[in-house]
Amino acid sequence: MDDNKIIDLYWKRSESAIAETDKKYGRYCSTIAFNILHNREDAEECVNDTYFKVWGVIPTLRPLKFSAFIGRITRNLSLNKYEYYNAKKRGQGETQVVFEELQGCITSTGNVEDAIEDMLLSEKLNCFLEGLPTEKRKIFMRRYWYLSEVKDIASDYQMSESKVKMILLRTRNALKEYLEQEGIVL
Amino acid sequence: MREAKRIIRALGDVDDRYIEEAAPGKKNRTHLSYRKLAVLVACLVLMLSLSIVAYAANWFGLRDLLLPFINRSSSIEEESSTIGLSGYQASKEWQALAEWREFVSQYDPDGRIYQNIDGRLDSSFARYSCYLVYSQEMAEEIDRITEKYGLALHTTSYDLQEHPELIETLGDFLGDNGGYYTYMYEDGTFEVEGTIQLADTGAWDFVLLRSVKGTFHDAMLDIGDIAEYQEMLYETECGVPVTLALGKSRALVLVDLEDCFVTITIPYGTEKGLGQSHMKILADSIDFAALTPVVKPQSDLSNSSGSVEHDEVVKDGSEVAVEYDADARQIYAATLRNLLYNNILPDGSTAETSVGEYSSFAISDVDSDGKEELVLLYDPGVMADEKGYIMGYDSDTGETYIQLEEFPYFAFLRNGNLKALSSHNQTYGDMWPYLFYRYIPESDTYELVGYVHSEDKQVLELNGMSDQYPYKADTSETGTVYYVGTDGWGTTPMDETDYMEWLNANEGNVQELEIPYLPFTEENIGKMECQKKNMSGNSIDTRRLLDECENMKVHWESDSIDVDGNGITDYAIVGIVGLSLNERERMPYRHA
Repeated sequence: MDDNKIIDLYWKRSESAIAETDKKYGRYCSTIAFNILHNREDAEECVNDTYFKVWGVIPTLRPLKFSAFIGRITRNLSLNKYEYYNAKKRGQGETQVVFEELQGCITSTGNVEDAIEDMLLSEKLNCFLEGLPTEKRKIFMRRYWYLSEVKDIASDYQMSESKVKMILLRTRNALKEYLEQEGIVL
Repeated sequence: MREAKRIIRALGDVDDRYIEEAAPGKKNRTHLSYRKLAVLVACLVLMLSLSIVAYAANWFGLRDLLLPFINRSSSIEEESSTIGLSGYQASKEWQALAEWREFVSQYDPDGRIYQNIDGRLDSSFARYSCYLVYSQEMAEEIDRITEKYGLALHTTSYDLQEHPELIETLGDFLGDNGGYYTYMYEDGTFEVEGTIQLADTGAWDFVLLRSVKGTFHDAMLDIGDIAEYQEMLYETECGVPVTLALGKSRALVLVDLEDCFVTITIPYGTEKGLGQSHMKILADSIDFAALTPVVKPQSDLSNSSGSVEHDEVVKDGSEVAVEYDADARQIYAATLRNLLYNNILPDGSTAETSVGEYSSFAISDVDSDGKEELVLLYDPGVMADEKGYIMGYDSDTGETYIQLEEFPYFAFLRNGNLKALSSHNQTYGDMWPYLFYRYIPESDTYELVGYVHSEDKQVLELNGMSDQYPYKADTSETGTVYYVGTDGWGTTPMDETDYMEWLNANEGNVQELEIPYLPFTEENIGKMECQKKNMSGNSIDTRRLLDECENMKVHWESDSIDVDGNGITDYAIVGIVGLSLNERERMPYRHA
């Protein structure tokens, strides 16, 4: 079903909205959640929470890109759950690896969290991504937005794992340099 | 770890289109076109008459590409098959890949060595930039393997989005299929993502990889359970024999040509309704004949059969042949990029600050030995950190070496000698103090001959210090005396006549070269690489794009909803001043 029709169902408060969403985006959301949590039950719980969240917000908002909208919600909910587990020392391996890869891309001064800084960081990330060649951008996003495993990215892009790792390494270095040039210090 | 988490969180708010384009299983396509139904039907009839069914035939098929099974103890996945994509088992390319894969599987199994490099690659590994080589052991092993099998290493990877002219030389080999070009190596190995439109089943994605023989290419593919594949030999309409391999979730077309090995991978199989007839149509739609013989991108564009050319330049009135060495330029480019992106200086040390806007470089025969050198002037904006390097290239080892490191203020003389000027002039002379170096051709290095500075009578007078001028030494009464030291700055003044005598004796009284320095940017590095190849060197003007981002006048209005379920009330954009509707749609939601 077309995204606009699915959104229409939400606006009409039709219960079939969730069923149609699950039909079209269930696997997509499950993949995002599982990549972060590495646990089927937890991932499924996040996907259900996603539908609940979408059900709650769509009458007020009409997302322009439904797939990105719903994927973003799933990702955030999954990261929340991941951090909850991590705080309880139940960290999930691969996600931790992704965090470690990105560690060092920003210099920390130990400042308190500042939402404005996060907004600025998002804007700078957008600019950085815009400057990347398409393939490198997609690989970077697959790793750090979708938190996909390197071997899955390599398989999908028909390249060796070593090449994917090298592309990621160089892109991280470029990101670090770019953020430093832009004076991003969190 | 908190910083990394903030990046991950902030990344969640990037533009929707980046999220969509990278979605698992989704690929971009450009210039899609449609094959006519009539042609399809005609092709199908013709192909059926030509095809040879050879199920389970273990002859030039998947099993001949199968790499030895690697047992990863940490893996709990089902056993799957991995094939090499550079040639069949009898080829040296496959054998080299099998050895390399086995080595890599056992080396650094827990990733600690990789972690220890902390994202920094030593410049000595620049020649392996197309491979994941991050230690001396890996470098030695890949050198051993490639030497054993007589294979070359990839040296440069071109982004075909930036250099489409490289692939255009192949003509319309994709036929009516749409294609999105990704990369090409210096030997002509390349990859293209394509889409074929079939009349009965719609569009199918595929990836075409051409691996050029003679170069080590480490592309591999996990194909799942090899026993599930049905294979058949088929001769295309163009008369090219190919192997068609059809599995449940993946299908492949294999073509072994004279100087390259071509693989077409379709990420779907019988589960999605793909059949042998579809694969035949795909095989027929590609003009494999256009993929051979391979023409290397640089030789094609430079109208040269080899990688080395010569320029005739004038030095001291005589013509000196300067060798243009494409390999050297590629390694020089790698050295520059290592500094540009990794902050690694040519000596392997880490630069405190990035190259900045004042750094520059030049490729020129500065020592008059007939070969091009790399002159790198690293100027991060802090004088204390500035460094200048003159680098040469050893074609035997394929590595660069530092001929001289000094403050980045060189005056190159046309006979190869040079003056390395000081960072400051704290003397009472107008002549800028310098260190005089004589070029030693035998070792391709420089020898420090003397420290030189001067003192002007007029300058001392202006500073009220005329009594300190050594009048006795200024026998020529030029108003300037000179100091020349061999172990440090000299303290004994000498007359200008004596100074000129010393300078002539050391071949320092020679006209200077004009060096064409370039700002230290990726664009210029790319141009330097491609200069002789007559390539446009086009690239995205990132600076301009960034400026545009900076100049956006954004007006924010809020809506107090936790839109994305992260527990924080979100602000949604409802109005943006000065942006078009399309640009508005691209803006993501923000946290506040």
